[in-house]
Amino acid sequence: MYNNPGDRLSRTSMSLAILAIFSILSFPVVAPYILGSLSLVLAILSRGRSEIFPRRSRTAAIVASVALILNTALLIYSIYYFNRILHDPALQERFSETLYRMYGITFDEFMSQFRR
Amino acid sequence: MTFYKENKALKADARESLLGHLTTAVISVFLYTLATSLIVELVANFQSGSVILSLVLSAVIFYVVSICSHMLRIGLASIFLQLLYQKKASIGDLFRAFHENSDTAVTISTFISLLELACMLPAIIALAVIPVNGLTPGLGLVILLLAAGAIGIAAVRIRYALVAYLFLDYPEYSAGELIRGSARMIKGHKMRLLKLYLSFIPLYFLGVLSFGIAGMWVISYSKAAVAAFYRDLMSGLRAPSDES
Repeated sequence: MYNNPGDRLSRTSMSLAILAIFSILSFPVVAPYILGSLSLVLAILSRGRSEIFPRRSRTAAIVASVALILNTALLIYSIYYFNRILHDPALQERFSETLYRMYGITFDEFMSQFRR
Repeated sequence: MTFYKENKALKADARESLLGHLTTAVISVFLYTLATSLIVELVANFQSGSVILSLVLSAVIFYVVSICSHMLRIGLASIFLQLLYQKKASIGDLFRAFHENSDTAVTISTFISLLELACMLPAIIALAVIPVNGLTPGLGLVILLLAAGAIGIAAVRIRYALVAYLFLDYPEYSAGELIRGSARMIKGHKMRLLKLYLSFIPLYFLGVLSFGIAGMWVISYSKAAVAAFYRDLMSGLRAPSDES
């Protein structure tokens, strides 16, 4: 069905793009960057000598770009939120309670792992 | 008057040559990267308390790594050139310069490595002599010399970018003829090649973003594009030493 190498490549690119989108939910930051970037590169390579992107490759490139942008936005928001936790005692208290309920450690105990 | 292809067309040729052969290309690039880093790791463990000995060792390490890496680069060029000529290429071709016409390959690699060493020598001396502790003027000088060295290496690589391809296409020529031929061929086309290299920066950024993984595909693409650049130049020129 996919005898043309370009077709196979755009199919792989599409699969990686979909995985990149889903990985934002399950393995944030690292996985979407790897899968999304790879998907974009493969989408570009799948064009071959053609002037325009094959339809599947274009879709893959769009989905991969969305995954990369969403992942970057998530990363920036996480850094911003963590910075707020560090400087806002009330927020730190609430975060510490949540952390204790979920993992059995307080925020100070959590931070002491990095200070060592 | 000869018309050369635009970078867009060269990249299209490169993509076309890679279709169906990406696995071979990517594995070769991976092995090249692995081998080069392994050599660096192995020789980087030699350290000495003496400044002079450290200096000599650093220079020797840089020189050895540079020669080995250039020999492997000839192998990589061979793979991408064969793919461009629609011939069969295998991963074993990566080590072609080590067993085929190796005298010429070593001479070419030594010449280019010496030039690269000459570019980096001021930085190596500064690193060995100037104590760099924190933000001192010494650190600024070292960074400046490193940057100047990197620019020098880039200039050397552009001037002799085609020597590997000439070596593969004209095995009967001597190292000197191939080196001169490469410098003559690239004359008037350096900016075109530089633009071709620079056009891959956005893709290299994706490589960095993926922690180097997508970089293997991007390097394959850029190497194939340089091979296409060589073929395009060859279509407009005669053999390297025909004029002399």
